[in-house]
Amino acid sequence: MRTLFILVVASFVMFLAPGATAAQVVDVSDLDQNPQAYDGQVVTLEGELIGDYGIRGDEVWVQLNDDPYIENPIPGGGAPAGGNQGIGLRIPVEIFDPEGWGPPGSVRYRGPLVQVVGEFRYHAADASGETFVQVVDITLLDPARPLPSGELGTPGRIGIALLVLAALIFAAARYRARPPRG
Amino acid sequence: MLLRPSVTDLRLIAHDLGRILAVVAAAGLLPLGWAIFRGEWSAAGWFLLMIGTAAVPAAAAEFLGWGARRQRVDWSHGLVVVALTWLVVPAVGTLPLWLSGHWGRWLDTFFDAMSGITTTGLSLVQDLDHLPESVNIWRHTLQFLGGQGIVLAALTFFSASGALSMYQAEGREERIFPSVISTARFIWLVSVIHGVVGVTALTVDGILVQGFEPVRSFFHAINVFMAAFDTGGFTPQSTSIAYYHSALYEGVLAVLMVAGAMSFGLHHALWNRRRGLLRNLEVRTILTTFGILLAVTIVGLGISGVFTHAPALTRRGLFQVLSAHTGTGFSTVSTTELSRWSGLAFVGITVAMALGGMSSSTAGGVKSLRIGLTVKAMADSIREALLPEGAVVPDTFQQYGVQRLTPRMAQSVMAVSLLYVGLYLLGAGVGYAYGYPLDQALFESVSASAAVGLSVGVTAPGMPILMELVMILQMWVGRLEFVAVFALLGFMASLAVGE
Repeated sequence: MRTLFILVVASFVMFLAPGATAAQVVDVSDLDQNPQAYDGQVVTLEGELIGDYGIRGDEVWVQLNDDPYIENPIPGGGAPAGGNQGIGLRIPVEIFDPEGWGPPGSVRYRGPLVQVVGEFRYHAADASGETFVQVVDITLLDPARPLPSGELGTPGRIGIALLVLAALIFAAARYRARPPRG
Repeated sequence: MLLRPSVTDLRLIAHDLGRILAVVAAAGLLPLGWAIFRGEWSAAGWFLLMIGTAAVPAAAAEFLGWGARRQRVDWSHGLVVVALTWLVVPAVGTLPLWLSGHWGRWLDTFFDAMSGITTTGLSLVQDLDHLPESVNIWRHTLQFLGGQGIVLAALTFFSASGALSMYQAEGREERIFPSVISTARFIWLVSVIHGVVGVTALTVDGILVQGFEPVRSFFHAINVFMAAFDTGGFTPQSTSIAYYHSALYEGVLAVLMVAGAMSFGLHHALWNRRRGLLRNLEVRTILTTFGILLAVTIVGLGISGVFTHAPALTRRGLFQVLSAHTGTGFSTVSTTELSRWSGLAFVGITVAMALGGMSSSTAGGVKSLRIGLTVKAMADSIREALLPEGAVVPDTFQQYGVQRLTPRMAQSVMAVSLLYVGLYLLGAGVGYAYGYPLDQALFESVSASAAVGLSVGVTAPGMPILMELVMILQMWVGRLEFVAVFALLGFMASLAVGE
């Protein structure tokens, strides 16, 4: 009952909070194209957490990508569709949940898909000029999932055969170049 | 009359290329080891294939013994080997890139391999953030090989006649020791020491300050070290150095970039605590141009209103000018934001890229010694014109001792500088013809020709094939500083029409 009460109050506060209610749903490209217009605004972004969780004291830095690869990265069978598009997030450690989310995206994982609400900071004076989103709320949409690690396959087998061949040729070269006996 | 090269000439060249491929095969062991360590089995297969592909001709060259009895080794032979090396190595190096599926067409992988080996840093990779770590290490290893000079690597392990021509054909003019082999070994010693210190500093920073996992921190450190010290500019993540959100990390990289852009002669002088280095023409030139261009860029950024806070402006401006002038190509702002740097800021960054670092360093561009000598030659001419007839204008300059600026040296320096200007304009013209704004076409052209790697978005997957080919040519010719490429063209002409 107590937990339910906290959730109801928290939802009510979120609903009333001016930042959260005024949050504009944007893409990373919107922020990149027109950063000064969004500076200091509360925005909502959806995407994949990627790279590393950089745990620095009471905050965590991580990159959020919202490019074509968030559903189907190339190692998972996706087709090339241009470059990545991402922005840094600064997340309070209190709402950081690595166990629930899973590892950030890499060649081994499609990272967790999340929706974040936060203040966009463009070259923030109180953060050494960094550009990022100061997250106030984060919702897990889909936890990380592993990507196939693959196998040596045909290229590996051909490579091993070529290496054996190269070793034989090199041994023959050494044998031929040895000094004559006597 | 052109003399047709003999079969012996061709055999000598093939033998030397075989030895270069042996170095490529050895270098491939690093990403292969990382792939096995991290369980990237597909990538391990790709690297085995690449190593095998390089090892077979290398072994065959030894077996045939074509280089064992060198009857004559001339200057052009070394130049041709170097020019061909810088085509063959990227061609072999594309194998793991192509098999990874992260590039749209084979030419894109060749573009990236050429960009890597020439330490440019422009890239057409797609979904870099999901690229296998081992393939990322290979991209950066290509930059390390290219920055150090892959032929230099071969010279270190295989003493060869013709070494001097090959050494100088890779864009290095000074010999620190009388023997080229000793000079090559000194260059590797400097690099290894910087590597140990740099990778350690970046790894510790990654773990303690940035909160990365130790293995990932080491992965980032080894990659960005190779890209920074060899003024390459590739990074393991799509947002370049902005990914790290750390002034300290940028500071360590700045030190490595400066070390990479310094000539190895200056490294040697500093190690021996030689005095009076500030009197050197090249040191004075690069300090002067860096100071002027930093001021121009910062004033430009201030006027443009992109930044509203002075510390942020200074940090970004300083890093970007340093990255441009050293020819590294790291960025702490997005491509879109960089494309908005207009006016003086645009001029500052573009000119910094065009000028480049010091001679006999891993940087590209016209290079500071040529700039200093060009300015001195012009100033001397003006003084001669203004002074009374018969007055003597000293034609000496300081560069690790007193040197004389001969008319032939001045002509040679100015000719190469003009060739660079022509190369910059060539790419800009092609980009403009394809409909890119002239300023963006020029920026990207200078970036490719001077082996920098900063981009305002022109270099992108799906770019026109002809433009891609021209940029590959710019990277190749710009890195080899023209002479080796001209020698190769002459060699091919003599093969075709020689008697």
